[in-house]
Amino acid sequence: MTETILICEPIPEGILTGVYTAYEQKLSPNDTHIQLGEEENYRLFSEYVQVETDREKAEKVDRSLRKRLGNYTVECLWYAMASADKSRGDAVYHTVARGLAGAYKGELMDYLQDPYVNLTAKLRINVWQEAHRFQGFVRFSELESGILYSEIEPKNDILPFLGEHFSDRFPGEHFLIRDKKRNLYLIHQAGRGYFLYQQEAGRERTEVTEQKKQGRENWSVHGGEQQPRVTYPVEEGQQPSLTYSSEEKKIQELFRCFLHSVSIKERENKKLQQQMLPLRFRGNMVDFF
Amino acid sequence: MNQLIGAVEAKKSQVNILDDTRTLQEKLSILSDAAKYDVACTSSGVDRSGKEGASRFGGEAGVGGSVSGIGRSTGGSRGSVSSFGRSTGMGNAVASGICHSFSADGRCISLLKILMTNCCVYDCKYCRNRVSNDIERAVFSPEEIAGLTMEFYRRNYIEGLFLSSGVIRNPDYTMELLYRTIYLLRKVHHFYGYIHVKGIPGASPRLIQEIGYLVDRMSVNLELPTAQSLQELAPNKHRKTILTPMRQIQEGINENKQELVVYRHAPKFVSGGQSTQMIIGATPESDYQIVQVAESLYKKFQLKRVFYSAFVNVNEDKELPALTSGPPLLREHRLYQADFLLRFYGFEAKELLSEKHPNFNVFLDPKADWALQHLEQFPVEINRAPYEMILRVPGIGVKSAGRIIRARRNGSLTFEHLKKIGVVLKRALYFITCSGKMMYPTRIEEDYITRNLLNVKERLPFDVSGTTYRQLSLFDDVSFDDSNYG
Ligand code: SF4
Repeated sequence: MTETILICEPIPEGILTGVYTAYEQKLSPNDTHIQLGEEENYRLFSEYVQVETDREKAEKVDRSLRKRLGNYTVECLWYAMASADKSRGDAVYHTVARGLAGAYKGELMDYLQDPYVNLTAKLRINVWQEAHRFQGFVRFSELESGILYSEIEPKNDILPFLGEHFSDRFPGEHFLIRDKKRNLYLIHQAGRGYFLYQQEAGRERTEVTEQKKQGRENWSVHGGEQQPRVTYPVEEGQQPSLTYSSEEKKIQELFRCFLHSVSIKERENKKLQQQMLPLRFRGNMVDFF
Repeated sequence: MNQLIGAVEAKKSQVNILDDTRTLQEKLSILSDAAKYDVACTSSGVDRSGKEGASRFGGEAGVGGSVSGIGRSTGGSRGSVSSFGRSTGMGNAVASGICHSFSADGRCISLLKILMTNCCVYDCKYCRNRVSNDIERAVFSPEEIAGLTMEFYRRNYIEGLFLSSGVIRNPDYTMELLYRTIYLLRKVHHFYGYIHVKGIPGASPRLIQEIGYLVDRMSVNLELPTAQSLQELAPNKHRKTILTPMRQIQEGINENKQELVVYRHAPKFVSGGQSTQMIIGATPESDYQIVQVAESLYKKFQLKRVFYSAFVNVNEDKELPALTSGPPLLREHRLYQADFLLRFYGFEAKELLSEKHPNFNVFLDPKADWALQHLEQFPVEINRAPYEMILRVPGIGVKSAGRIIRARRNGSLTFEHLKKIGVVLKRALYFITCSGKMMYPTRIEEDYITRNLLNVKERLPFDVSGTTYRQLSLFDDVSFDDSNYG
């Protein structure tokens, strides 16, 4: 039998549209696969189908999976879809297929004997761990206007998972976290909710949770009346100009001073330090100078 | 409560007699250096959203605009923010704990760990701050600590504050300073992040009580495992003055639980529980004695954690061991492993050690050591054995055991399955069967298994020279799982 290969856009909405297509066309999971991005390793006897990302379809799949598999499982799938691993689309699709076929007991994500569920679970943990690490490693700097600004370069697309945590932690602050690799912004306005903004595509990203996006209309691209001076998100292609507050440098220095003096000389272990806090994170942290 | 603050206010001026005019940076450097030997630096075990924090600590009206910091007003910048929108305080707590940085010794930095002051009227032999040492002394003001905490926290440098202190003047005076600092943070700055405070032995119960309602965790240091050692090395401290506040906090927590059942909104008391720490290797106690002390602290005082701190001889005091090979890190490591066996693996101290066998094996972790002494209980059948028994298999941690229990609902597990679900078999294979079969033909025989286990290199958190160390309490309880406790 010929295989069908669904070629989807490498974003969660793309994968979910692929799942939608597979079910709509009644394709058998046994000989259907999802491939992300360009066609590669072109295989003979395979039928290639280009899937156009459709947010409505993606949201439909999300909703019906929540009903069928429960919120916990679907959140696991969202984490897995945020992975940078190329096989994430196929892993998630087949995990969903297993789930809908119902050939397991208990919680789907515990069915680790299955290679697809197993892979999805691994991707999920990997992304979860990176997101968790960034809960600690995000560093805000105070801009002149009082806004807190941070840049990160995560391997996986974890910024969407930070919104709830930081909004709950800093409800009274304006803050912005920018994923430099993806040009994605997490924007929070004091006393209101947060939202995600993708600079190049000029579109908002689907939220992972049912986060309400109140206050969004007040945070306009060019700055409304109430808005402090910094104009984020910036216009396409434009680089932000960042002027730090007068206190900022001093507080960074105090922090470095603290880091330096809490370390115990007799126990020094730079290797372990590097294992726990790999170099790739450090470029965006004020801890090391 | 206001009276209390008044009293603190009055005494505060006396602190200024010390006239500590050092810059904030100098103070920070002295007082974080002085705090670094305190090991309990985790923030885990408390889950509290920002909203819950606001309803628990909120209450009094805020002073929004002046929440700037570092003990002085910075004018413009912050004001423009706090006047904008609704300020609802700052901070939450996350049960799994968050590491914000790692210091050069590889330890997780989660809290701003500092002393209020390193001035101390006591003379504990193992402590650098003892009165007989000629060192630089410094005192923070409550405002300075509150300002530092806020500014660090909002930049996401820290999870919260871990505040301890040398004994300045007397225990009550010291405790009042700590109280004043935490009061400022909670009630004026509306800080709802994590706070751990040290209880000063000998402070009045009223102060312990008041402060307990403002913090997440309180701990009183046991310092040394036995009363006798304490008497020898910390002549100003007494076992009784340490255990009294410990008991008070325990009772406070228990009463509070009752209150919370009746009135859901009753104020919470030390909701993250209490912990303690003791110094290992400065005095002659055996591992058995130490583990027994820990066990009774867990059972009789319901502590959340006991921390062990390998002795570092900072004073080179003649009465203390010289430690030519550095701090006793392997011993500390073994004690942490045993501690986990007590708390999560259902072991009792007397199963692990005895009068005849009073110290842990240098070469084998305590669980493997135990298993080798109890080969009659093995092999364990993975598809049938209860969770408790699977937990006792060397090489299988809490996470793996949980995965096995859940995965086997979907049918019998083979060794292949175990590998797939992430169970490391290197060590476990000598102790388990899958559907009656061993992985390889192996013998259940002490010498044979010991030899094989020793071939599997144990991953130690420090290098062989023993000069380095890893914070075992990274995510407090969670991380010391399969990977560390193979
Ligand atoms: S009471 Fe003892 S251990 Fe504590 S600071 Fe003073 S001298 Fe050091």
